[in-house]
Amino acid sequence: MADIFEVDIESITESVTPRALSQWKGKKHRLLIEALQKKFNIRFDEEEIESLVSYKVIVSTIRSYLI
Amino acid sequence: MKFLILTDSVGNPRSFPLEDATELEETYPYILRKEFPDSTFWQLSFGNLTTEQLVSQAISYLNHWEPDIIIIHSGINDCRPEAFSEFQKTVIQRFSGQRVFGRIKKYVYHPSLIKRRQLYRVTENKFRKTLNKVKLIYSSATVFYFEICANQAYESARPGVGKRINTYNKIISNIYGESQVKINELLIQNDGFGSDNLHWNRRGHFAVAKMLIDKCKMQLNKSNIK
Repeated sequence: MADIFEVDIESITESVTPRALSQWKGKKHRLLIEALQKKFNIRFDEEEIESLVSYKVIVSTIRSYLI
Repeated sequence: MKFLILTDSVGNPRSFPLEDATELEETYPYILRKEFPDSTFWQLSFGNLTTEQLVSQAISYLNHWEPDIIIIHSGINDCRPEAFSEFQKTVIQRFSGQRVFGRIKKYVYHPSLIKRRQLYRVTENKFRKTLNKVKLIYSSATVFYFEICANQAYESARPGVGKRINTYNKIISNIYGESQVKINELLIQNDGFGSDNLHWNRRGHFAVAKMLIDKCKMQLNKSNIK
């Protein structure tokens, strides 16, 4: 996430959201989704993508694919 | 106490057909809200949405609000058999136009076609994944997940639905255990299903509201939430 948003790793806390991180928007959100799908070899549902708007939700969603 | 209520169309008021008409004040989410006037409620009730669609809506709007109690009443749209996929239905509707679609609609939902084709919107694995996700995201909340239910006569409109409901209820039970709220028997005992054998009339809403209020009060006493 830090690489994609081009921020320090310390900025990526458990409570980080697009509201708290100005770099988290539009195209970068799409890039993040693509990178996560590639990294974990999963495919998010289309309706799910819009809801991936916090670190906690992202981690929980990925875990739900891996359970 | 903070409540999040997610339901399909069954949680909504209903004005048609007249014999099943249920006013907003007679729906179980409203009755529950009245019982806990000092609590904060957020309710999302949409018809024809799958559980993933419903949950995604809630998460994208409220990812930092941590509810104490979550009531989820969804699953029939995930599991019931269909004759056509949503995409196919959209294509048929687009090409036939609204007026013609109105006339051919009965074929799109014809029981013999449904029986033959047996298509599902959501696979068991996807349904399981969605439920696991909700559990992980709202790990600190108490979740009451309603058993998926329909009157037995719904089988004639949707052949194969009973078996599918049982399979999906087992998934809910495996993930939520005792938090799964059994309501089918209660609805039958109270003659609570409407004439389409799926939606509830005011008796159904009232019976479920009463049971849910007891459950929430018990939870409230147990966890000492204000």
